[in-house]
Order: sequence, then C-alpha cells, then structure tokens
Amino acid sequence: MVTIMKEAKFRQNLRQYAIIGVLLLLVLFFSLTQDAFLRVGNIMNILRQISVMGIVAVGSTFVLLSGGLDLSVGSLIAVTGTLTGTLMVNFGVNPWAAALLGILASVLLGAFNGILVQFVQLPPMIATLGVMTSARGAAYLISGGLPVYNLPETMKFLGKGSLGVIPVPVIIMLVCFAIGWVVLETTYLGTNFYALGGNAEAARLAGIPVALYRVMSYVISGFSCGIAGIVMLYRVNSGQPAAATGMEMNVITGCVLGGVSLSGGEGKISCVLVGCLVVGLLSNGLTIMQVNEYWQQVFTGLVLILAVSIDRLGKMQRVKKIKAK
Amino acid sequence: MSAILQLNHITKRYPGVVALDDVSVSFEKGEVHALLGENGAGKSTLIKVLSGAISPDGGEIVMDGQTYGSITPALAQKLGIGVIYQEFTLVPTLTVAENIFLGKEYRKGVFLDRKAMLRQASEILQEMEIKIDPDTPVRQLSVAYQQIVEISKALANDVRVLIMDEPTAPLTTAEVDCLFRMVRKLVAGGVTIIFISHRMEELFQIADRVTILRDGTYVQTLDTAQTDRAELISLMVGRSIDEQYPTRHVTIGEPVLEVEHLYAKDFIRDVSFQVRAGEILGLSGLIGAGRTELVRAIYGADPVQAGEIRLAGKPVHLKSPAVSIHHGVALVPESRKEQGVVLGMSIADNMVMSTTRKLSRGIFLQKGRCRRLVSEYIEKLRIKTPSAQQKVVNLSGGNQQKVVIGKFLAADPMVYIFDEPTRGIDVGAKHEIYQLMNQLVSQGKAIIMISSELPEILGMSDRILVMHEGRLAGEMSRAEATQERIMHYASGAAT
Repeated sequence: MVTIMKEAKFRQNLRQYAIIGVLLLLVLFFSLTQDAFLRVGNIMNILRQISVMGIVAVGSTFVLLSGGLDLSVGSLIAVTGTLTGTLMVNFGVNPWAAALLGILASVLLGAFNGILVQFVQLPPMIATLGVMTSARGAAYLISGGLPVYNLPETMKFLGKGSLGVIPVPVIIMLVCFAIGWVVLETTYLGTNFYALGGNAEAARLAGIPVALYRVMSYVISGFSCGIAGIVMLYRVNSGQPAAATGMEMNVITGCVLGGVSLSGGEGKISCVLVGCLVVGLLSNGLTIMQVNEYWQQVFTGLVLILAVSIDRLGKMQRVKKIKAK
Repeated sequence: MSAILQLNHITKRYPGVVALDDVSVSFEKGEVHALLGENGAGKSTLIKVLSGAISPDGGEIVMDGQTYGSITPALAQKLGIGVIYQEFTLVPTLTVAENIFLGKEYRKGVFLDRKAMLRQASEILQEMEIKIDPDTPVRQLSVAYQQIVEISKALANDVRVLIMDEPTAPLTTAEVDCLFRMVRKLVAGGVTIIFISHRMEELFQIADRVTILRDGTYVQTLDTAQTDRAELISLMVGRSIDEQYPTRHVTIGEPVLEVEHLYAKDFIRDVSFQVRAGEILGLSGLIGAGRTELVRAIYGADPVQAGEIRLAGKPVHLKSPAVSIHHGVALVPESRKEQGVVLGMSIADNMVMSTTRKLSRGIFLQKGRCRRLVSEYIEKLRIKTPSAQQKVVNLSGGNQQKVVIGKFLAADPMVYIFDEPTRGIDVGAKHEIYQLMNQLVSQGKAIIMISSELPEILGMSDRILVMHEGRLAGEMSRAEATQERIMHYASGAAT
C-alpha cells in the first residue's frame, strides 16, 4: 500500500514538474539549432522580455489559487504607467512619489475588483472585465490619449539598468517571485489562500476569514500590476495608454502552464515562473529562428492547449482510478 | 422464487489491494437484498461491477441465464439494471420530466415531444402514488423528492434490478417510510432491489435477505428474519462490538453555552437553551425543522437576527466562524465534502486549517509543529492512511469525517457542535466517534449533537431538544426519552 502511494505521489510530482521538462526540451532544441540562443546576452534578453509578465503572474497566482480570475491586469499596468508619467511630466511630482501614487491607484483598482467579487458577488470574469474596460479608458483619459514622453532620468534604472549582467527588471521579477514563494509556501496566509480556492465554504467554517482573503488576492494582484506598471514605464521610457494590451492572456497562459488550476486551490508559484519562462523562450527562440509573428502566436496557443491537455488526461486517469476503488 | 441475477467468483484487483476476492452472490426475483459491510468491504466495487462501471478481473455475471464476463453501462441498461447513487445525477435546472427522460427524450422528428414526456412522467409518478408536478424544476424539490425522481428515471428504463446505494442517508424518518412504501410496491411488481445502508434498523424493516462482505470477501447471506443486529455487526467487523453506544461516567458541570431568544433566517424563532460542561445535548427533529440553521447561526456561519449568546456567563457576539473558533466554539458541519474538507488538499493541510495561526511564529508556519500535531491526531483518531500527505479525496467517508473532527480538535474548543457526525460512515468508525465524544465530555467539554438517527440521539445524549418548524418543541432527559416521544414533538403534535 505504502509503495503504491509513493508511486502515486511521484507521478503526481512528475506531472507538476512536467513543465520543467518542457522548458529543458525547448532549451535543448533551440540551443542545438540556433547558435545565438544560449549566449548570456540572449538569455538576459528573454528574462527581460518576460519580466513584466512575470511580476503580474505572481499576483495572478494568488487570485487563481483563491479560485478567482483577474482580467484587468493589462489595464492596471496602463493606468499605473500613464498616471505616474503624467504626474511627473505635467505636474512635476517627485518621481518616487509619483511611482507610489501610480502603484496605489493600481492597488485601489485591485481592491475594487475584490469588493465587486466578494461583496457584490459578481463573477470574477465579469467584475474584472468591467474594470479592465473602464481602467483602459481611464488610462487614455489620464494621458490625454497620447503617450507620455520626456520622463525624468531619476528612476530610469528600473527599466534600463542592470546589476552586472542581470537587468534590473529581471531582479525585480525574481524578488516578486521570491516574496510570493515565501508567502505561499511558508506562511499560514499562503495555506489559507489554497484552502479558500480548494473549498471556500469548508475554509469559512474552519474559521478562515475568507472574505478578507478573497479581497486580498485581488489587492495583491493590483499591487503586482502597479510594480509591473512602473517597470514597464521605464522600460519603454514612456507612459503608454495602450501598454500591456492582452497581457491578461499571456499571464493566464504562464500560470496555467505552471500548473495552476483555474478552478483554484492547486498550483505552485515556482512552476509559474517556469511557465512564464516557457512562454518567453518560445517567443524568443522562434524569433531567432525567424519564424514570423503570426506563426509564433499559433505555436504559443498550441503549446498551451497541449500542456493543459496532458494535465487533464493525467487527471482523468487518476480520477478513474480513485473512482474504481 | 428464482435467481434473476448471479455473481459467480467475482474478483477485482487494484494494485496492492484485492477489492473483491472470489465473491459469489445470488439475487432472487422480487426480493430486497441488502449488502452490508464496513467502508472498504467491497460493496461499492460490487455495485460498479453490476452497473458496468468497472470490469472484474475474474468470475462471471449471470442474468436471465446468459453469462457475461463483464458488463458495460449500455448493457446494464439493456438488461434492466439500474443504480441510484448517493450523489444524485439529476440536472437541477431541468424539470422532473426532462430529467426522467434525459438522454432518451421522446421526439417528433427533430422536435421534443414534451406532451408525451409529461404524460409518461406523471404516469410513472402516479404509479408510485407520489404527487409531484412533472413540470417542476428539480432544484425546487427537497432531497427526498429528488430521490424519487431518480427512482422514476430508473423506472422509465424498465428496470428489473434496482441498486440503491444508501438511499435513506439524506432522508427523515417520515421520508424513509415513504421510500420504503415505494420499494415494497416495486418488489411486489417483481423488481429486485439491492439495498445498501449503514442503518441497521432499516435492514430489518425492509430487507428479505442480507449479504455481508468484509475486506473484499463474501462472509454470509442470511434471512433477515433469522438474524439480529448483534450477529450482523459481529459478522461485519469480524469481532463483536459489545455495546454500540459506549457508556460514560461524567459529572455534568456549569452551563458553558447559553442561547437566549435566538432568531435567525426568518425561520428560527425564539430559541433558548443551554449546554453544560460535560454534557451531550442531542438536537432532534425532522429534516427542515431548523436544526442545522440554528447551529449555523450560533456558530456565526449565518447571521443572527436577534437574541443573545453567552459563553461561560459572558455575552459574546459570534459574528463569524473565525470569531467562534477564537472563542472556543466549533461546528463539525453536516456535509463533509461540501463544507468539511478541501478534497484536493492533503490530510495535513486540512487538519491544520483552523489552527494555522496558532501554529505560526509571526506569519511563518512552523512546519515541524504542524507535522507533530497532524501525526498525533492521525494516531489518536485512528485515521487509516499511509501518509499525512495523502489527499483527502482518496479517503473513505469515515476517515474524511475523522479529518474534519481532527481539524476542530486541534483548535481545542470548549463547545463542540456536531451536525450529523456519523452520517454515511461504517459501524466501526461510528463507534470510534462515539468514544471520542465521550472522551471530550469527560474532559469537561460541552457537545451539541444533531442527528437524524433516533437510536443515536437516544444512545448518546444526556438531554434531548426536539425542534419543529424553527422552534424548540420539546425537551427531555435521557431517562424520559423514547423514540415515540421524540417523534411526537418532532411532528408538531405537541404544538
């Protein structure tokens, strides 16, 4: 009996970490076929490309684990960027203060998402879809419909700087993942998010303040969008109202590739990082191979479907076995 | 009488476990044949072999003189073998008639022939002497009526062997009587019923014969008229349980929880009572009498409209489960899968759920303390599992219930509210839960226990409250209580 359990557990882990295998295979494939791929510069390039998405994915992991969904992430990034930019450029606000205000705006919008979901009982998809649409409009209004240029130099290092060979946005992303990991894996707050997503009613009756945790998950997502918005602002060196359009789908792809269940309660944040890497790697590798962008989209979509299908089929087998017992 | 269905030497192996080992049973036409056994005895596997959900590794199934190595679900349907599972397979948003004919709708060309379906559905319902409008959406029906729809669904298939897996578990006594009347009608019409229940009294009421399984092997088939409860239990567990309800010697102390003039949900009206340290207070009544609603309101799971709750003499405002647990009140909820456990999480994660904060230094969970606590409770509650990391979904009902209880034990409350603590779990596990309750009261804890099983209420409670339509209808001590008396109050005859 015990050996079966060990075997089952091993298999379960295997599937959980299957995404690491996919990552290694991609690395192997691209490094064998493309000389330029494994160079330090290119690897840093990949990491920099996924940094904004990765930061957002940390927050989204909290939302998804709690059984929610946040479609508004791209718009929150745009609001943060345009607001921070406008405050600095048009109103002469200190860059640090402007950044804090930008992040605060994103946090408040996140809280609004959470309140709509928890207290108005809107389905997460509807609540965050509404905020996504309105916040995008707000970003255009804030910037007067045009990108905000001529940002002060003070905080430029956030987007363009690097520590040794490692770009600052990558460091920020890794720090976000590290904090996310610590909270989810080592604190009671983390286990409560999992419990909420796994069975909200059982969690509530067990004495977990689920309302607070549900709202918090969206607040955390808003916060990570705020950070990502600032990084994005200085990476493109302008406050773009159209920034990060469609980001929500990339982020969901990364999270789901990393094994986060869309029904909540399951997934590891470490694997989400790997999932984001796979998305970045695919796009970078295919670009180096000079595959055109439309084909890249086709591949990315197929990889998502493939990865989730493997997971589903594995689960179905497991369920069959359990039922048969 | 002649055998309509025979199982010969059925064996089913799973890696490392033999779920069924050379089991042979014969079912007669027009009998109620009960299957009895603890969880894990092989009853469910046997049902699945019959319904075609799984194919056996060895043996044969004989129906109408035809021999089959295994059955597919389609073949089972063709042969007239129907199953009513514990979890219903109804679509809540569809009407009764639509559910009955789901997948075999009457058609006129490409269009549904609704009239014919409604007519046929009401014929089936009338045959069973049940008054339900076949045009009602199923979600508007009570559990008991939903079950009748399930049965009607099977009947619409011209079922000849009907397997009922714990059909009475969610029903009140009155509803069980109604179900049994239907079963008798079906049997009189020549249908064979294979009946599974953990409630022993019911077997004697309804079953002609009973087959006992233990650890995947066939033990014996007996005429229910020629056996008794003690014999069945000892055959089932392979040992005799001396007393079903263990005795205790506890001095009852001061009131711990006092409830005064409580109103909730526009339904619970003017309820006042108290529970004392060392006391088990039984809460009885029909389903829908408001027992669950009452304890949920006390626990803060649903809002209280008016009234006062005092703990150890001090008024408290238990506005949420989190606050209640903090004040030392715990509720073990009635449906463990929906409200008790997170199925996808491990035993360990489930068990520490109410105590994560206590087990943390700052915000950091102390994994070593968690591990020690979990293994302590796994041992104490005798949860059968190879590891604390096992996901709860893989455990039997009894063991899942123990995980829920363990979760609240870890929080060390003063007042335990158990809502149907032994529903759907086997005799061995029940006994262990009773012993645990006795231990708790001997430590001076107070227990409120809701149960729909009258023998359990009578066997375990020091004092019994009976509810009827949201109010307390009666109170009696253990010595005064009888089934008749409880039913008298529960049915509202006293008001």
